[in-house]
Amino acid sequence: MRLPHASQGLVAVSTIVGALVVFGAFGTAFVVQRLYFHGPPYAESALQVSVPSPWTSGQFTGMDHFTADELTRIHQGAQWGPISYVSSDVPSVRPDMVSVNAIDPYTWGAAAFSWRTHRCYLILLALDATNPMYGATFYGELSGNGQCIGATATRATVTGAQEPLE
Amino acid sequence: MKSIGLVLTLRVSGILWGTDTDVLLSASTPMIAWIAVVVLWVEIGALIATFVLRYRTQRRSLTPVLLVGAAGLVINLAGYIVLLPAIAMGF
Repeated sequence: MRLPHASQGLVAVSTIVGALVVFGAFGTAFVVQRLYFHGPPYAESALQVSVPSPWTSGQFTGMDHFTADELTRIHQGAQWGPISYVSSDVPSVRPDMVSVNAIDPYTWGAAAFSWRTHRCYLILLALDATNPMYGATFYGELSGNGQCIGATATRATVTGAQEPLE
Repeated sequence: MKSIGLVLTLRVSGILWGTDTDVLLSASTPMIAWIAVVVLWVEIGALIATFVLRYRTQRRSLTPVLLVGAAGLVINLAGYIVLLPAIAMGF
């Protein structure tokens, strides 16, 4: 069946407009999905993959040797993406730059600055000194005003059991 | 020939918008990402308006649509150039 010339034009312009609207809807859905239905938050996901394991072949090796240099050497968290590790007095200025605070064999902390929220996120792995098989991971955050340094991640300051929203 | 040019322009423009927005989502605030969405809809709105106007005036030339598409491409390309350092850093 042949459509009249005017109807053919209408069908063509409707198809083009429909395709453009669909493209726009996909673009909007892409942003909504990334903003509100994303996986682990960005700076916090960098911190999570930065936490090293103190166990080697079943032996407890402690956390204090996991300094920035050591984490860089072993490419800690490389499966997530390139992460720069800096010492506890050097501020993190971006999500994939983790300021490391290797406190003692049972305590290890780190900080990373989020570009998304302009806040500093902290993580702390605190193991039981009498039985390092047990321990917990704690979370914290600082406002964007202070320096985002690993030295601020201590047992006294990082006490949240839940990850803060990023 | 113009229709192929238009399709290519819109395709490249779409890829650039996707790259720009991806970087903005990783390295910036949600507000900036929403501005990228507004820009997308303004570009789409301009294209739709041009297509509808072309239909209503019964014109056959694709030049106005091509010009609007090219303007969108320039905007998205400008965003890409501005964001190039962040793109190079892998964000």
